[in-house]
Amino acid sequence: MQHLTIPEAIAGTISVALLLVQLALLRSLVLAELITLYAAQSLFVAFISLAVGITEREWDLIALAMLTFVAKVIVLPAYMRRLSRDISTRVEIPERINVTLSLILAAAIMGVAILTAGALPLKTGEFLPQADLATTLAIVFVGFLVAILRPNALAQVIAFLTIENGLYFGTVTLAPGLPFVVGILLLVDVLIAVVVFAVLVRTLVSQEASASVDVLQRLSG
Amino acid sequence: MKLAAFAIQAAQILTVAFVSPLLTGVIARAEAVIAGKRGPSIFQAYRDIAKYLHKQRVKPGPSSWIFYAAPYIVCGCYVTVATLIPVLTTFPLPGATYGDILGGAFVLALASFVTAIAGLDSGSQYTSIGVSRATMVGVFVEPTLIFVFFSVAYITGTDLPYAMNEALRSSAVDVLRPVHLLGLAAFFMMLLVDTGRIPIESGAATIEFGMIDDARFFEHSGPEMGLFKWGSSMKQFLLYTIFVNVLFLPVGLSSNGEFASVGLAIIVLFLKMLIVAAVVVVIEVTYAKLRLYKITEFIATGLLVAVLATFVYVIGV
Amino acid sequence: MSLLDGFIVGIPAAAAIASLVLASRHSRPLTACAGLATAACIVVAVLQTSDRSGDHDALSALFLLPIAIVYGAVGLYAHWYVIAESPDGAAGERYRREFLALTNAFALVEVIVPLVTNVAGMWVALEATTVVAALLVRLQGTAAALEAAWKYILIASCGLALGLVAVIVLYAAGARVLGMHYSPEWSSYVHDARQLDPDGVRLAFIFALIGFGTKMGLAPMHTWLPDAHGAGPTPTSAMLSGVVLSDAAYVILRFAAIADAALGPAIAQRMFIGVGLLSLFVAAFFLLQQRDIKRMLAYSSIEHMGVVAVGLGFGAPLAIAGALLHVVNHSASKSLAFFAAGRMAARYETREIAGIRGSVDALPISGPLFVAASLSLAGLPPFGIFRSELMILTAGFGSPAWIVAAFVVVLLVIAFAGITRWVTATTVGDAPESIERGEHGTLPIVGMGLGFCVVLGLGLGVPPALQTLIADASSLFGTSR
Repeated sequence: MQHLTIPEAIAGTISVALLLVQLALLRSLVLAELITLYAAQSLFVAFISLAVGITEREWDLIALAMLTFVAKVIVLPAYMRRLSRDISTRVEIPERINVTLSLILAAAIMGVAILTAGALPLKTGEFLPQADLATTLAIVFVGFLVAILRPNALAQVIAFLTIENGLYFGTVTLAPGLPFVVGILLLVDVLIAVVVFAVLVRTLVSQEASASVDVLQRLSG
Repeated sequence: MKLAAFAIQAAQILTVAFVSPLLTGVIARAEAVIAGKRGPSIFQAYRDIAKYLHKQRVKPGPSSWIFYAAPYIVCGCYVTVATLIPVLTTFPLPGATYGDILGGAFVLALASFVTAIAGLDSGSQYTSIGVSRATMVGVFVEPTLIFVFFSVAYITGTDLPYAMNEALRSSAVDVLRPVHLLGLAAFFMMLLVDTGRIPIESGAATIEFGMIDDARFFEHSGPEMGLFKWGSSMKQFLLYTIFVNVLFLPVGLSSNGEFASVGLAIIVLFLKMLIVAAVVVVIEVTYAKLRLYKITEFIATGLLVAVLATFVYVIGV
Repeated sequence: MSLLDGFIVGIPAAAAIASLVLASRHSRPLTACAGLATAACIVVAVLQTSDRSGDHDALSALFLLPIAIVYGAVGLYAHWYVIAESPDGAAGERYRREFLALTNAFALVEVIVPLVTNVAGMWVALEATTVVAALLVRLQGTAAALEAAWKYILIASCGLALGLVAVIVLYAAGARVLGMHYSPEWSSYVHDARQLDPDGVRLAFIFALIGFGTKMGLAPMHTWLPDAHGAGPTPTSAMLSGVVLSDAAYVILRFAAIADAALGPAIAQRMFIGVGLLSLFVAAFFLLQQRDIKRMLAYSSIEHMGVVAVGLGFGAPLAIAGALLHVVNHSASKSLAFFAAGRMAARYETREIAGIRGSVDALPISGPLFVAASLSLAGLPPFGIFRSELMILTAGFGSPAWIVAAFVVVLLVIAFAGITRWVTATTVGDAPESIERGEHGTLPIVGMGLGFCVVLGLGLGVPPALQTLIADASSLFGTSR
């Protein structure tokens, strides 16, 4: 039973908060809530990036944290809210299986993630080494689950963005020495991906008059 | 004056038995006051139980001896659990070695089971609906409680309630660990479910179609009804006790068995419960009752939080 | 980065920017020239590397070749394609500009992948190819194109997310010996391979194979491939099949080299054989029941990527050399096949196999070229793919996993049956009266002709420079270490 220092304890709590937000994505069926959850998760990730940057004296992490905050907490959610107002007429998104079952599946998937990360003795630094890979994998896997179980275009986009959040968390905590350029490119890539998604979603809605991806099933075989 | 162990044990049981209606009364009064009404007296629950004890029994057609024996068994179970958990003292009393916290959970489950079959025994539709809903709820609640107990047991290294209390008291930092906080959140959600408050059922009003817990003894009357109502209060008191004394605020308990400190322990316990009750009341007036099938979502969320607590422990946060 | 690299990257970049700015009647020939110029620079770089005088290692140079072949031909082909397939009026000009700019940009990001030496940079470049390709696939604007683009970007991005996990885990595995802050050059990983954390390297390779295997088209992550190739524009399909698949294979190979050095070759080999066989199986059976000519070619891509994976799985030097040669052969043949199929689809105005009859009659050059390319893909001599498949299978039968080689033969025969069935359905006989005869445009013919020369040439004999290159590259892997 290791005794943690206060900064480690806070970082640990925020990592758990990240996971909780990811799971909360499955609980909600309203797009506006999903966007808010994503903004909250980005806030936590930016905070952790800032904390690691200050502790390890990596100035690029601090810069990335601020950029993340501006881009993912303020700009992107605002853009997505506008997008969702433009495209959808209904408030609730459909679901493939009911919420209860998806929550239980999420618990199982988290178990898989923990097992995969397992007892990997990856010593990468003072910030919660064992927890980070497990948390990253858990966020990524649950994000996949959300994308599978919510057949709405914008919901799948948000799921993908939360996966990128989890990956950013993993980069910051497990690989803080990755070049700054990579971090910037990751962020830019997210922004570009969202723009591409937006183009596709607008086209989808204008053609199909619905943002449900269930109609995208013509090509098969 | 140092009390003998069995005297303290008796005091423990008497506290659970006789202070629990007071808790019920305080909660009912607080809800009404916050809603802007005057509300019943805080001793109303005592008067209600006394009233029932003097009323006439009515036997529903197809019922058997189970129907009559149930309330006595249920109250017996609750009294037994009262001996297992640390209500007043930090040191284990003679009855405490009969079971650990899982044993306590099983005894509580026995009480639920007996109530359920008594309800079915009466053959009425309302009670049957209540029993089936309560069983559905129980399917999720039991594993959640077990996960919560396990996650706390991971931290403290034991699942004897007295030892858990001891371990948590000695290390305040452990209470703030994410594992523990998640366990607390999950247990609180289950507390809301098991004591039948918003968002599961409306504690203040009697809405037959929405009743889950209270519907199970709808057909009982007279002294049996009084015992069931008393049993509900006792169950609420016990769950609150587990929440504050084992999980949340394990302070204020008597460590030396002196008469004064035991008396103080009763008062401190009640005050701690009032804190939790305050939160429950605020939730009660703020939120609306969930639709029936969304109740399972709520409970599944609680289960997920409890499972997350265990995982978070395993990954070492 | 040397001056030559500067050209290789700069020419497509300049062409992309120019296509955005200039009118399309200027940027069409510009794209064609850019393609040929880049191809020439790459050939020079390859020759330098095989003399061991360049500053790339053999694997990078080898994987630049597919781009040379495909981009060179695409530039010429697009000259005609952009006119034939664009809508009329002002929307047409926008379509043409967007298409040419995106195609050049696509070539730019594709060419960056083999040139970066940084594991994380490779990931970024692959992610960039996903984004650009998705924009290209949806360009047609049809419902099918939209669905294909959506599935593609979602599945590929999720796959690349797993790929990034692989990069992160590898970084963490290396932190033990390389410290917390280091630049993840793949060469430093190979250099210190024995000291890397073995569990971390194994996990990283698994994630890399699944994640980047999504972009490579390995089953069971292949589901985006048939849609994207079928519904997208023909030059895009050629570039996707010819280059992106091989770029993804390149990244997986880098991870495999690290895994081989750190853990021994057995682990990576077993996994390669597993996914390779599954891909072959899926492709062979789906090939038997195709209705769309470009989807058929897409499944053929999956089949050939499976062959590459199996070749890498056999592990013997001959097998690895065969797999590497197969990548180059496949790029050449597949792009030629797509070009010819594109011309057929444009002439008959449908992609359905049932709608195309007697294309040898209607298109006297494209038709026979399609037959040749398809036979090449089916594995017939004297084309290149026969040679590389022979190398792989010879090594396979000589290795302990000979039963796998037997399965591969059976599946290749099934795939052969599928391909030839559809090819004969579309090419043999007389074309319907309503279809006009003759070829339009000379540049696409030239492009396809050049492709055919490569396909035939590699089949008749492998140039010594290429042989040296392949030998050097395969020395990085497997049991030859």
